[in-house]
Amino acid sequence: MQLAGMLHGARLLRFVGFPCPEVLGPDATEAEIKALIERHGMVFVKPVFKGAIGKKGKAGLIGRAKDLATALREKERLFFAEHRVGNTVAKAQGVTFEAAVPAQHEVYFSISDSTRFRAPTVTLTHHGGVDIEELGKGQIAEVPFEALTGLKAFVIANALSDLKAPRELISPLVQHLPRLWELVHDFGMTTLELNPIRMRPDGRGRLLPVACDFKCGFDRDDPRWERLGLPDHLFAADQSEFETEINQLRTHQGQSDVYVINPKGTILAPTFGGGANSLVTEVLGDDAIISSDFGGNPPYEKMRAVAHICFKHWLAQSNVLFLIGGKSNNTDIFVTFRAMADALRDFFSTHGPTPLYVVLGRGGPNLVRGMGALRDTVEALGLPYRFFGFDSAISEVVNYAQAADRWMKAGGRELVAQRLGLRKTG
Amino acid sequence: MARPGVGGFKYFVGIDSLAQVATREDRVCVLNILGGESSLVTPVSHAFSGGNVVFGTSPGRGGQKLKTTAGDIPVFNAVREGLDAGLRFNTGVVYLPPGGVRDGVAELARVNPDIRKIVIVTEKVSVHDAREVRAIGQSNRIDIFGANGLGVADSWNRVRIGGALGGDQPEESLQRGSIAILSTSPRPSSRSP
Repeated sequence: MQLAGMLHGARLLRFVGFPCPEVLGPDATEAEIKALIERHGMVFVKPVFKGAIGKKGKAGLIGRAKDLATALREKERLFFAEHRVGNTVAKAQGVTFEAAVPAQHEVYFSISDSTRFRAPTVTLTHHGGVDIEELGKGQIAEVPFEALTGLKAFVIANALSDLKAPRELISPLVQHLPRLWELVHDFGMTTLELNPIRMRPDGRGRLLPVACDFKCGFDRDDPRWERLGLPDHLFAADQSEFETEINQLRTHQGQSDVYVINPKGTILAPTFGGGANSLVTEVLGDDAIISSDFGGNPPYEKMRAVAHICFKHWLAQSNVLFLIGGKSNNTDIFVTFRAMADALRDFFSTHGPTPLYVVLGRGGPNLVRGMGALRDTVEALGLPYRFFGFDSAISEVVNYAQAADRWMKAGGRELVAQRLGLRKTG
Repeated sequence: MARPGVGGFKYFVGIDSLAQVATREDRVCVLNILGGESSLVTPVSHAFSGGNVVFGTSPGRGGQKLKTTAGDIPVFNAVREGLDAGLRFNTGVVYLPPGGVRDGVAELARVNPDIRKIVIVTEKVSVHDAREVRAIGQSNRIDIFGANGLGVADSWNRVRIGGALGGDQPEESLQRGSIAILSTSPRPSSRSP
């Protein structure tokens, strides 16, 4: 869950009283844009992307205008602009008009939780406005601080002293930067980056830090972000339709942490436990449709609902339904397999039969009863299957599932379809 | 005087050998002991470890007992009540729901001066709360295992604290060996490449 740009960023910064430029959204009238240009001399026209995607400036996706005609031309050019960074492609949905901020100094600032320091950490430099990776180590300060006391002014003062930052920057940054911790910590953020913060002089030459770009990530396990009242559609780009549907079942007990690996894959592998998930995801690669962890002893109703959604979206294209986990500590195998078997039966009744090879590898409480429930179902549905107990190495079971997938691709799917009465025998 | 940590770390670490992770001498208090998972798992751990759970808490259900084959475990409304009853422990186990974990850790750290280790089993603790839990552990010189932990166990000395390693028959899986296993049990928390 990431958010970038000043359209919403400016509103969040105002929560903690951090200065930002005047910003107009995509629905700004010509009169409003003209007045903004007259007040500030120049505006930047920036495309609005959902989520966070960087390097817009280098891609020529930031327009600047000193008159209304240019601003409108840039609006037309950027309103639905496409932007590619690596494999990520984003399409703009509107533009913002942001007042230009005259400044001699640009500052980079971020807060995130550092695994190196095992504490929240600020990253700060007065050589901002560029990619932080392009700077030398001595030009950047990375300073951990205490989560309970928070980011305090002295942390910023010490960091700027260490960087030998120009004197005129120190007082305004020491006054303003600590309040950004409240935004991060009190609203469920995991990271916040402001780059650049431009240091705007006032009439008497004193500098004021003004955030000119905004990027943050939210922790979806932390409901504090809901205090901000952000519209839900902002985060819709992060998830597929399938993920959105399944994540509605999300609770703190898990079972709904499901991600699409390859929407054109052929093995549907509900996995149980993080270990099985890691192994299966790595070995199956692009053959796997989803990455999941259904461990944690899910109750029958939840397991059936999760399986129902998985089957509805993916079973028709799957060659192999691969149920895999290690020897569970406390997940009741009978409950989970009965739920999945019932969901499978539901799918066949609702959507009709589909050619499928069922492979299972599992151990844990009530294993034999669970296998029995699943066997009864797949036999009743006429599907080929192979079950492995906890004494079989997971890696070998994964190999078997891959072999079953290859067999299905090499004509097996046709044979199973014939057996289900889906095709005439040739 | 602050309890010194073991050497070589820039932050506090209280134990300096694997033998101290889970010992037969550790006395345990389980927060939310009557919760769904704990009420199944704690009796097994308690019996496997020779009766190491001194008491548990469950606000509003003080006075009840959790039955185990190694004897009943008393339940109090809060940690202070258990201490007032003369019970002592050095290890806390947290089975609270995610929103209650930070407060549970604060209770253990604040109320019990003897606390040395806290094992947090709960999944999906927010980053916000994890930050503060870590800071509470550091400032009070407490080793914290978790959250989203499987618990800790020593197969040589038959001790299991928090979590359900080995399920309901830990003696089957927790057998003496020569390799220490540290598992992060990774959840698919981000898109795989």
